[in-house]
Amino acid sequence: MILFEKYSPRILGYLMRNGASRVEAEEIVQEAFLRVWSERRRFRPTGTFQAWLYTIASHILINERKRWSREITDEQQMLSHPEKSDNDPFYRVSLSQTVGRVKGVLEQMKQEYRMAVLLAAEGLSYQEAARAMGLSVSAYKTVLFRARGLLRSHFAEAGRKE
Amino acid sequence: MKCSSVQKWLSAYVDGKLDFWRQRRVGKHLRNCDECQIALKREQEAVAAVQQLVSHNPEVDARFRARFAARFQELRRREKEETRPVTPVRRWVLAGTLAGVMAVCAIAGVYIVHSRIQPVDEKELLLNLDLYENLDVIINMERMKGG
Repeated sequence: MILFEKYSPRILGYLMRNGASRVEAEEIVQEAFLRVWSERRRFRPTGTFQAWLYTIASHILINERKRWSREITDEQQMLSHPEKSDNDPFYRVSLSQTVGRVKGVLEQMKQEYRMAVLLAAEGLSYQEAARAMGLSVSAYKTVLFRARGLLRSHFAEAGRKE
Repeated sequence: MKCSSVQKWLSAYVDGKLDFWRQRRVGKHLRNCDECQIALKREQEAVAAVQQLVSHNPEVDARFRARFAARFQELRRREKEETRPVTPVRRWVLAGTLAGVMAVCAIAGVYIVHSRIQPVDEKELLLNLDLYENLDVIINMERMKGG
C-alpha cells in the first residue's frame, strides 16, 4: 500500500495523458499494482521499480487499447469522451499556455509517439522506455526523435504565428 | 556536419545520450549555426513543456484507494488459501496416495521384467542334447580306432 500511495498518482496521470479516461486509468492502475504483487518474486533489482511499474502499466494499456479497438486521435472523439472533458479536475488544472499547447499536440499524435515522449519525460532511460513499449532501443529512439521532431515543428509554427 | 544531421541528433543531444565525439561535433556545429540554434531552442522548449505537463498528476481519492485495498485484500486471501499448511488428515491422505502409486509402479515393473524372460524351446534343447550324445559316440569310436 505504501508503493500504491507513492506511485499511483504518477501512473494515473501517465495513463490519462496517454488518452485513457479517468475510469479506465483507475482500472489499469489497480490491475498494474495487483500484477506487481502477484509477480513480486520475478522482480530483479537490475532495473528500477518505477520502470517495472511503467512497463506493466504500459503493457496493460496497449493490450486494453487493442481490445477496445479505438484510437483517440481526433478532437471529436476527445470531446465526446465525458471523462476527458474539462469537467475532470485533472484537466481543470491551470496549465501555462505553452504546456497547454504541448498537451494539445500530444493528444493529436499517434499513440506510439505520445507514449515515447511521455515515458522519456517520466524519467525512464531509453532502455527502460523501449522495454515498456515492447520495442528495441533503436526503434524506440526512432519513434522518440520523430515525435520530438513533430513537437519541435509545432513550436516553430507557433513561433512564426506569434 | 550538415544541418539535417544535427537536427536528426538534436533530441539525443538535449537528453545527453550521444557519444562523446558526436556530442562535441553537434555542439560545435550549434555554436556556428543560427538555424540549428533556433531548432535547439524549440527542442528545449518542447522538452521543458512536456516535463511540466508530466509534473501535474491527478489526486488519488479515498474511493479509489478503498476499491484498490479491497481488491488487494481479496488477492492476498486467495494466495493464502492456495498455500495453506498441510493438516494431519491431508498429510495421511497424501502419504496413502503416494504409497499406492509406488505399489502400482512396483507391481507393473515386476510384471514387465518377468514377461521379458524368454521361455526355453524344448525341441531345440532335445536336438542339441541328441547332437552332443552322437558327438560322444563318434569321439569314442575314433579313440577305439586309434587305440
